[in-house]
Amino acid sequence: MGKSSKDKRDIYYRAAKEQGWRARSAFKLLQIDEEFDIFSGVTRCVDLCAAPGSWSQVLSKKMKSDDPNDPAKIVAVDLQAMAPLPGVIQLQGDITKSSTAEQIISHFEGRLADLVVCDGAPDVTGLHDMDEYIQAQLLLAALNITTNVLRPGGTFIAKIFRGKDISLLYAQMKIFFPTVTCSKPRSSRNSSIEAFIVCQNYTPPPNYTPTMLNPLLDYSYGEGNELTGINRVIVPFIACGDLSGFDSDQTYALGNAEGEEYNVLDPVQMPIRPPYQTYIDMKKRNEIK
Amino acid sequence: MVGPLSVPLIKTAYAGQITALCFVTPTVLLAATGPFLKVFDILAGKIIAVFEIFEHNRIHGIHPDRPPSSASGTLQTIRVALSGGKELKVLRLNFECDTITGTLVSCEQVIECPLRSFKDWIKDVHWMSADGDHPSITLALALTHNFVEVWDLTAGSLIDTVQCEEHCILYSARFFETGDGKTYLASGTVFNHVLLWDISARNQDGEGIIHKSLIGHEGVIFNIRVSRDGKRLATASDDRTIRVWETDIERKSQHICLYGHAARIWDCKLMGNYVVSVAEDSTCRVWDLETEECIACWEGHEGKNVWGVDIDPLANVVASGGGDSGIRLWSLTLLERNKIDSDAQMHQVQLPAASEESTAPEMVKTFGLLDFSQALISTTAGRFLTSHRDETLPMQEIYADRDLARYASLGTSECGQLSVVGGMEGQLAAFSPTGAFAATRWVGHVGKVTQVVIRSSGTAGIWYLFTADKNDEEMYMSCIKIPSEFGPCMVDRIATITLPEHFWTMDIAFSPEHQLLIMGSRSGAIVAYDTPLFEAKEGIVTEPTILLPALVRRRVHGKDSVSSIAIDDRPSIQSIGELIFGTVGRDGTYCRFAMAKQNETWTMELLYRSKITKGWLEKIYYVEDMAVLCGFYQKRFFAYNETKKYEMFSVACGGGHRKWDFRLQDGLLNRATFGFVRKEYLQLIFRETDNTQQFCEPKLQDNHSGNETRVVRFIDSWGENGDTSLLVTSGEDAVLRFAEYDSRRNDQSITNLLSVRKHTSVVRSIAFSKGLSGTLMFTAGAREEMRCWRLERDGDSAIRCLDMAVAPNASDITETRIMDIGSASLSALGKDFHGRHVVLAACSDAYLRLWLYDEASNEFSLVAYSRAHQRCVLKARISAFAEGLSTPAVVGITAGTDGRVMAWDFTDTVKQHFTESGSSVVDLAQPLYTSKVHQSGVNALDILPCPDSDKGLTLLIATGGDDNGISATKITFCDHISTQAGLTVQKVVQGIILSPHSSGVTGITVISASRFLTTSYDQRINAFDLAELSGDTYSFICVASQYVDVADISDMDVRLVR
Ligand SMILES: C[S@@+](CC[C@H](N)C(=O)[O-])C[C@H]1O[C@@H](n2cnc3c(N)ncnc32)[C@H](O)[C@@H]1O
Repeated sequence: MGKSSKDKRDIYYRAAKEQGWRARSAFKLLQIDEEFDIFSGVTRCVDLCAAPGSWSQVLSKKMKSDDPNDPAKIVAVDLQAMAPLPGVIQLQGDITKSSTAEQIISHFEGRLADLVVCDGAPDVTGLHDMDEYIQAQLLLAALNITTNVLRPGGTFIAKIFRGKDISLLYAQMKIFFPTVTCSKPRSSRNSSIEAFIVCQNYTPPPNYTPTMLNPLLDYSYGEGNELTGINRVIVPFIACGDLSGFDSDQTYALGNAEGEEYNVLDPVQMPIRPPYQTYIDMKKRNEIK
Repeated sequence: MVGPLSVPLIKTAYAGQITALCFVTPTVLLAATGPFLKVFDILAGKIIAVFEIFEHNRIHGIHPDRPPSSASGTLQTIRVALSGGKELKVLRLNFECDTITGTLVSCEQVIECPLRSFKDWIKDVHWMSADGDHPSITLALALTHNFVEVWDLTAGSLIDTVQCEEHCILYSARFFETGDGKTYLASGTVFNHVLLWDISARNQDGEGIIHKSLIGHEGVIFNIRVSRDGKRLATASDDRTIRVWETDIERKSQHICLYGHAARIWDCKLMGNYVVSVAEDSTCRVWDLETEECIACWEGHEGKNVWGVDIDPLANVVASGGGDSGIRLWSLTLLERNKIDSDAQMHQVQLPAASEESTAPEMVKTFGLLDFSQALISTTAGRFLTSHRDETLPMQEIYADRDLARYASLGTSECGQLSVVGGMEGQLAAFSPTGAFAATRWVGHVGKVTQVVIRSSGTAGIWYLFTADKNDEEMYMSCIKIPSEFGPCMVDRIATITLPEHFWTMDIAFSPEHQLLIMGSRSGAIVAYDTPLFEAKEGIVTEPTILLPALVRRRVHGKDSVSSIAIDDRPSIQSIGELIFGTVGRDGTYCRFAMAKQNETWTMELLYRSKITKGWLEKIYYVEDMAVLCGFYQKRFFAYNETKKYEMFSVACGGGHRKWDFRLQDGLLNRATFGFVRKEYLQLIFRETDNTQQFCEPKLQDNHSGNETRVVRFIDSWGENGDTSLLVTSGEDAVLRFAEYDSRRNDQSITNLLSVRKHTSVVRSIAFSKGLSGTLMFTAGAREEMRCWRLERDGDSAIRCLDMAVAPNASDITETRIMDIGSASLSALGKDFHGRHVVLAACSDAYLRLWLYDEASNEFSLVAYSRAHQRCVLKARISAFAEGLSTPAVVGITAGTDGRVMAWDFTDTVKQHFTESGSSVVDLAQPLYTSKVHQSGVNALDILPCPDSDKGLTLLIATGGDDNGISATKITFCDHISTQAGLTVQKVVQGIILSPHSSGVTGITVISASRFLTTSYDQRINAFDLAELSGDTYSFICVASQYVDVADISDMDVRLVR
């Protein structure tokens, strides 16, 4: 595949490089904001599963504190190491692990966060049922952290795979948030099962004491509500992002109409050390048979 | 009208990932595929039983209540716990074996514990009642959030629950027992650690205590396996390594780290000194723990991923189960036989001790195999000796000539009766190792004889000999004949072969049937010669004929040598007058060609080309129904079965420069001999049929695609009886796969009929049209590739798929994908349009394109296009209608990521294309009708004409969107003969439901004017009925909904069987 071919097939990939975002995911958060106006009045935020960091970039651009003594606070967490970003506190850790959660919480003791975002996705294996399950667990881990750090009235936004158990996840979000919407930015591919749940106006149930001890295991279906029937939890779906903007599924020509040569840009942030880096190094040295 | 949909869907066939394999005896194998558990007997090569275990899930784990039995045929019963996601079911399997052969006759299931759902995804199951026949079922479950629950499932009570002190999510977990009878869990975390914790000990918080952390992996741990004795543990990871650790808590052990797989590793089993692993690179590898080397890499699965693996309890057989739904069996014991690494596995031929007069000992110069046990050796003393495998038989001197001591170029006939040797001064000698005739000597060339090749003439006792000297501008062809009475053989030079320029012959093939010679050169060329029928005229010397090339083809193997040519004369594969042959080259490539003679000239067509190795290919054989290719790679000789696609045999011989020879009797090398000369010694390796047969067929279950399937279609014109259906699928692997589903079969499988590999990238859409003869099939996908095929029946259940045409590119952007196509025959438009078809393509560059396909010329031509959607066009359907209209019309429906459906009247555009010859491509500005039915992408579209008034054409258009919604739109079109203005929209009835599914809708099929079926990523198949309300709107009634076990449904097709 030619170097420019990904640029033609994926306009947002190209746009991300042109605009200096570390990943095309940045547009997803920007388009969610266009629809839901998620940043107004927000100065304290948690970015879960943040690497390589394009959401953190968006957050630090959008969240401006007027009070110089109380600057905006962004805590970004990921399993992977992430290149530093000014104004972003970075933690490397597993968000499903209670010790990581405690570390995050410690940053918001005394003053809670206004917004929690999570773009967590597992290392997909190709066994879709398992991948969807793990993704749901990341979402639930994020919700668990959220119940510990989010101020009442705050917003939680997370990636969700719209698989077979999505109604169960909706039901769980609805315990904590009166307004839950499933939203898909136009920068996310039409054919992907990915979407984002936007949970607004955090209202924990009365007497709810957040704890990190028990994972929020997802519910199971009760009798008879597993079909499409009335008992199924339905949340509204909103496609967000400008319809006259770029189409992530469309193939675009490169360069301008004058036939000027197109310049393929390098990614803003080279991938962080992948798990198979040692293999690659050994292969280069001809040590793998 | 269709009746109410009350019957639930019944699962009848499945071809998908094999997620788990488990031997219960050396011959009985359990396999998990989708929701089914299959029971195989590998000795009989048969499926014995299939059980449907789960309704909505696939099986991920098979957990028997006891270790496998090492005796076949004695097993009567076992219990197995089957896990899938959060669900668990326990079965008792009762086996009945044939008392004489020991093979499995039947297997019955008794449900011991019905399906139960747990709190969390089950990673492993451990039978706590150690005695396998203990009546109660007590199981420990390892759950994804790193906790364990112990259940008495007979009583239905939770006995114990323990959370590990490390709270985190797991990718893998495995129970094991230590020598002191304690049960531990090994947990594989996302943070690359493996934690060993005692499930019965507790810390002050009441949590399970970690006794040992295994640290070293650089990626997620995908699987953990324990050796039978519980002492060792093997882990498979994202970092492409397998690591083997000691479980002993007290010892700080070093671990073994195995690199070799080229992608993520999914599973690894331990058995004795072996680890067998399966991975995303779709291979199964065997590792020797003592040497820490990979001793086998088996490539028997297509696409990505091999998920399942097990080793039989006697460590003879490995079973691997692919993402391609295939199950392969591999012999561990034959590994030693198939991979020759040490001298101990070879026979070194000993020459007789040096005679007194010579000072240097006599050594081997070159050799040829005469049959499977004898070799003809030429020595440094100029002697030609036969050596037999049976060393008690003495060596025999067949011929001797001191002049041939320094240099001898040797050729032997395939039958072993004739050998010819050429020397430094152009001398040649023919003699018979079997003593069929006496030797003859003559001078054939001026200089050093560089080539001696013997080919059978097609008549017993007569051969053709091809020789060349170092000048090599021509070759001589001679005829050698056994005399009628014992005496010297007769040699006649019958032809002088004029070689093309720069042609150094590497190999020669002769077809007696076509009297055709084909030769390959050192620089990749092929030349063919017609040869006259040489009458063997005894004693009469005639002038040799001069042969001139009939056909020359250069660069067949790039600039590399065409090292071997073989004629494929298996009757099944040729058509009359055609000659099929294969070539291999030092570019590592295998080619197949067809030659045919038309008007006295030969034409040659490349049928197939495949790169086999990074090394050299040196020899090709067609045996039985298989192609066997031999070559050298990394100092090894190998024999590769091209038909079965695996390496059968390899020898560490030192490299391709060696003098070597190979004989084989059958395509699987049950009998074969390989010999090579190393340091002037002859080394021989004999292969004989192994009588201890371990399994019947290496392919226990046939494979399907191993990549994502993007499109599935029933071929409607087939199978009128309704018992069988013909399916075609394709997707990411770009292969068109035809398969038959027979509802009378009860093994839940489909039968592969044909795979066609011609598309170079993802195929997304398949459409049919009724052709003049047979069915036309259009296929399209990425790289703007669109093709036309004609489907023909071949006997009762076989199908032929003939390549008719490929459409030219129309987009300026090469990366443009064709997302979908619709096609229709234009014969409804009248006689002039017979044999003409329209294809409407939805393209990712925001265009829809209308193509015309002409059966007479087999050509596609672009008729019109439009950018009306302005965004990626996702769906397209087209049809020609006559009913209800005064003149027949061509109507298309399209939809895109803009969420709109559009209706198009293409009638005039199509007609004008024929009237105004050479007419230009029309840019269609606006559709006849537009409606925004979804917020975003329309991923499913179907149309059905449903005449409901006497005038006009009524179409029901149903769509499904990525926004979880579905829409139904009924449009009535009218035409007006008076104005000739084409169609107009007269009436629209429309309805939209916002969330009939919880996820994007991926498939929709209209089955009648009031009913359709939908599928979605939410794993539901729903059926809706439409009710027309006042105000021209529709309401939807969900009449059935089924929760299925296929995650990520990407397409659906429906066939109505009456
Ligand atoms: C799609 S990427 C996030 C992209 C990011 N929002 C950006 O804009 O650059 C998903 C991330 O989830 C992280 N992740 C997956 N599992 C995790 C876990 N258990 N804890 C923390 N991070 C996790 C992965 O390491 C990966 O970097």
